[in-house]
Amino acid sequence: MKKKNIPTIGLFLLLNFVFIVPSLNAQQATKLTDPEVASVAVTANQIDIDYAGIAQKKSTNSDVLNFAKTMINDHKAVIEQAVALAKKLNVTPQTNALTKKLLADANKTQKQLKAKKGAAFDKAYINNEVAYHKAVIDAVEKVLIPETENAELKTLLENVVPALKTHLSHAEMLQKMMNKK
Amino acid sequence: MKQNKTDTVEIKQMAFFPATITVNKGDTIVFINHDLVDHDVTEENKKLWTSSPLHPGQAWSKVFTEPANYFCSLHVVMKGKIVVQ
Repeated sequence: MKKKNIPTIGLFLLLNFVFIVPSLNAQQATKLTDPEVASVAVTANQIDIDYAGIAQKKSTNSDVLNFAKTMINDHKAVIEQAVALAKKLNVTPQTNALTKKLLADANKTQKQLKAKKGAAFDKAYINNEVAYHKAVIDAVEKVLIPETENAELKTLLENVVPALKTHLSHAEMLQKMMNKK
Repeated sequence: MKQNKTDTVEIKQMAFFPATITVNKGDTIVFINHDLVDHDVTEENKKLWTSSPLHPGQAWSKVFTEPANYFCSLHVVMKGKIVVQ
């Protein structure tokens, strides 16, 4: 994938992994506001829930289905907490260029996943989960957390990182198993 | 005669704390979920016992007379060990 201009500030996702990968080329952006951070956080979680929903419909592999169920449960829990915190802080998540880009990329990825079946689907889904979680971890640690001003929102994001890293480890374990076959 | 006691394993940040716990035969371990998401505590080798999913804030306890390796079946990379002396 061709590297494009990467802003030194603002949020970006740049991946050079397998074909089903979301990428972002934000224009030279100003720092995200907390409402924008909240929107990105909720959107990123919802995207993975949606990917898992496709897996639940298409996969018959018990390990993949178990993983997908965990993704839905965990990311729903994070969204609930993010929404509850936003309500408490009287912050309305604000859709922005990044959330729109994430959703547009996810839409493309969903179409690619839906076109596959059987073992090819399982492999594509898990490969995407590895890439997606790597990208989200990177974005949360390097941009969302440093750019968040509200201490409680920052703490929530920090508390989510271990879950994202565990998801990544789980996906990588499945990826390894699939690559052995 | 030794009195049985109760120890605690905290589940937080996607890990069991402590990851390895040593108890006397007949002691109780309470597993408390202090994390953001659901977890369970399941015997790893033959799935002999399980807490079933614990929501954040929920706890589950068991008396241990045998050592065990356990894991969270929802997050299979999360593992712990019980040593019984």
